[in-house]
Amino acid sequence: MGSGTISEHQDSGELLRRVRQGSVEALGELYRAHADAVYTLALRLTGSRADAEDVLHDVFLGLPRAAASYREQGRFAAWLGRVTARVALMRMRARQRKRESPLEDASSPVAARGADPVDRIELERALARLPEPLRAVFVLKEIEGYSHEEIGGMLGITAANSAQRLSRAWKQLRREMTR
Amino acid sequence: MTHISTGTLAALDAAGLDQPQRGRVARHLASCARCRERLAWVREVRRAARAAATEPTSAPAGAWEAIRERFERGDVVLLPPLEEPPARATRRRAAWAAALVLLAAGGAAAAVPSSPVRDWLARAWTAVRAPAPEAPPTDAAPEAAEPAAPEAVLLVTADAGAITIAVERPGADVRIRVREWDGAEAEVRATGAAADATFRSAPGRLVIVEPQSGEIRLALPAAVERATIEVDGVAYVVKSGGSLQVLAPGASSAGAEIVLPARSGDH
Repeated sequence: MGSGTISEHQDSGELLRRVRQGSVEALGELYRAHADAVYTLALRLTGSRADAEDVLHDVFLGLPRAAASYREQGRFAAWLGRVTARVALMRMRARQRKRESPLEDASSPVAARGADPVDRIELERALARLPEPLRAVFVLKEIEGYSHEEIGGMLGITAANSAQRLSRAWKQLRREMTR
Repeated sequence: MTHISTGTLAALDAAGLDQPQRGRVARHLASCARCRERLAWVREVRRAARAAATEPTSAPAGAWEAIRERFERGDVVLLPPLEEPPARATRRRAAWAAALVLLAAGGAAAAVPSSPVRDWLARAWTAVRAPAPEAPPTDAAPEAAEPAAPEAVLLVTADAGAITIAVERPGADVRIRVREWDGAEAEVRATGAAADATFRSAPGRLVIVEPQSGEIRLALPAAVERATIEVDGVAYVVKSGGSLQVLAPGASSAGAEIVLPARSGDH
């Protein structure tokens, strides 16, 4: 992933090959190495622990098939991050259609309390109020460190469109947090 | 004085501005306390968000046990494709839209071996093997361009010469289109909200759970010995060797495709 929150695993390629062959032990090793990062990214994007856990299930149960498209030797963590973001974004779209709202969860990563000049609770709430297309770009760019090109690939939009959404996200955050 | 937008200030640190833009922003900042304050705010928000994000949240206890249990009983989730260039998706949508002529066709009649309807369907299915014409890509402004519709593309390999595609609890607006193609596997394309359905697979079988709306396009391999399309446990299309039975009474044909009503309660 862009910010390296999913750490690389030297043998990921080999483990993935074994997962494709049905090895639950190999899947377990990948899970232990990457589950926290997958869950954290899913939680940041969806804002819901239930959705994030569903994403966690989907990503790891999807690995045997998805592994067939893995072509990035040595960059498994980055690939897994993109897969996770894609699954989480699809879940967000589905939730939007069902008119569900993310839970405001004060213990989510962005909402951790601290003595910062910027009130993190206020920041988390402002992020939660962003329209999901803007929030997704903000999380992926400003927190996860993806490039606009990578985000465009995940969301099915252009890099320029991603940059525009980020600009709108900042504008709305400013409005929410300074009024 | 014209101030600099928050978005532009945010792009300043993220290498999102070209050199002339950076120069203009720097000159403005030198003389504008208000924009300097806003830039400081942007940096503080970014720092706070990243600082909070450096501590991963632990995956829920018990999640691995649940995943392992599902994995061991063969529960596989099919993930969406990673990257889909928007222009390509637009061309594909246009190609699909090009093959749309509704013509009523009784499903029961199609099941009769010598039925003219069945003969017509067989001709239509053969015709679809020719590649559909592709519309040229459009050159819309980035923000004005409509985002590509979500699409999930899945392939189902026959098991012992048979393929079953089951749709469970579809929404009332889901449309299922069926055609035949020369591919070795069944191709499933779910678009719109149907792309967000849950997909579960087993050898020779794909289950699409709760597609809410949108379309599910199924391309069955011409060479497969047996293929069944079910909706809520009811067989809608059965292909056996060269014989095709369309059992869904509400089925119609659309050009080279068969259009099925998704809701089993409709028949």
